[in-house]
Amino acid sequence: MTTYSTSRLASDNNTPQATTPLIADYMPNAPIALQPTKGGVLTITQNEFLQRVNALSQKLPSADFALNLCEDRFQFLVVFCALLLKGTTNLLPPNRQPLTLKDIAKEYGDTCYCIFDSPNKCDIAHIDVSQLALDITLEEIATAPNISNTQMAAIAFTSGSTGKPKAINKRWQTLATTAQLLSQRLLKAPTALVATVPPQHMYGLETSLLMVLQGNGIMHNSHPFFPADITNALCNTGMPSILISTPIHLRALIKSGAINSDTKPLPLQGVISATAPLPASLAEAYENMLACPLWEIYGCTEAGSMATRQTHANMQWALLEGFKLHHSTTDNTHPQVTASAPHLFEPAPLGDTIEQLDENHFLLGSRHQDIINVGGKRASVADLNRQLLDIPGIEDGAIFLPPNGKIESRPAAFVVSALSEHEVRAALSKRIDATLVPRPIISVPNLPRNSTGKLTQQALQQLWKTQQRDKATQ
Amino acid sequence: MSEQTEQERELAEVLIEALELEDISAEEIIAQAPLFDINAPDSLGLDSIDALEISLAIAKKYQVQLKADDENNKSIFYSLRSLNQYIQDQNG
Repeated sequence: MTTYSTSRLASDNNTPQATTPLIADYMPNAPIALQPTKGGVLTITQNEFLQRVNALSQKLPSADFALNLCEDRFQFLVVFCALLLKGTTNLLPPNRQPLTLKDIAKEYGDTCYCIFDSPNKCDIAHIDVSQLALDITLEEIATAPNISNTQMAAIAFTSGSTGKPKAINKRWQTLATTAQLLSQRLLKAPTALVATVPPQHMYGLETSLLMVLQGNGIMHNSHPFFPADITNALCNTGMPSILISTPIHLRALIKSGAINSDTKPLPLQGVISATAPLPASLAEAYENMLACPLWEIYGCTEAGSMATRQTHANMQWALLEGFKLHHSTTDNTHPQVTASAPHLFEPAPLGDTIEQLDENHFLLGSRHQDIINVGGKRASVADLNRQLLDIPGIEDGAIFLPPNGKIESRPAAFVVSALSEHEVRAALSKRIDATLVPRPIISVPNLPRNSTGKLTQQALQQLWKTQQRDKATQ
Repeated sequence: MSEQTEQERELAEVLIEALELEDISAEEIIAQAPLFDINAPDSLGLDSIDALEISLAIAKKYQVQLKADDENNKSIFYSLRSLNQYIQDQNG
């Protein structure tokens, strides 16, 4: 059942509120999304959106958990909210590999099901939302529904220190407040949001979906990929727009020549980048090319977005309101930093080394060595190695980052196995995201393990150098 | 045996260079084999980041901008042969 009450912002006063409305400043006739059509663009109002959410919510089965696998950004948001109203937690799997989905579904009980919006091979209980007939009435909904702050809105998955993907709980208040804080800092007025990041990724979720519910964002329902897609989507919005992207996509946009003196000016108010830090010189070059400011967001799956910076102007990260950093001194080699904030229900450990400048500002050091980051997909080396060694026919193996000095480089692997490189790659790709599958995968007679069976980074890098040298002289 | 045309060989060289593929040479790419589906035999098993790199290399070499929202995107990007066909059509 859905209850309705007057909408208000959780942060409006100091007394803690038990609920936060689904849409913060609900205005029935204001746009919530822009749907590109053949000839132009269609506006979807907040009222129409709520109607769809209500209608879908009534059709869904009662369940504690569902895997939200919708690919269309707007459909993903409708399903996300319908599940919220139903009291069902959105599970956001780290990838779409069949084994991953099966493992997660098994862990979350008998009622857990998949929900998607396009034909999908799936051998667990599922609903294709595009096949559901929804009864949409044309009545105006006066107020947005309230959602309990403590309700488990979503569970994201990340690589844990044990090497097994770890479930990260996201309560409604955490997601809603993060989006409010981001919007206050980055969106001064209603702005169309064009995003190259998928809605399932925590960064894509907080910016391209939740800033629409809780801030000044208006979703452009697209998922542009190639540079020409990005410029097309931006030209389609017909209003001031912000591009939400990653260093990989931005680099391609700049280098492609898709923006030049012949193209019409883009309605860009700004660019937001996250997943990997940009060097100041690149950020400045991008700002000049795109003729708008570029902001970066720093965050992690555990804490969500927690700081921003306008990179060329200042390398310092400014924490979002309410965030505090805590440094533990128990381990001298890797001082652990945790972040806390009123909207986080527990402190979140950070995977980076951090130099704190004052209460609200910090500089970022290097990421802990165990984490590999390619195109916004992160995994711990321990987890990747576990997946590699799980493959039947692999006697021994190691995944590592070869020393090539790129910002985001792919991992490589050594294996001791009779399997071909193609077979190893195919087996891994069933388990882990394609961008994290090592390349090259090099077959070796044995790994340079020391007398205690340990494989040091130094030994791995040495073997890599030898291999590269041998190849060059072949 | 490879059945690449001269144009396909040229495009294969562009892919190899753009993706820094080390375990395969241009003439070994089978013209009709899927580029992306890792489970298909003879596939290169490329991913989305590779697709971006390919789009850059193609923009530079052929002055063609690839689009994902093109309804035929999946068939364009299916194989070396289909990708080459698309580029030639665009420039034709």
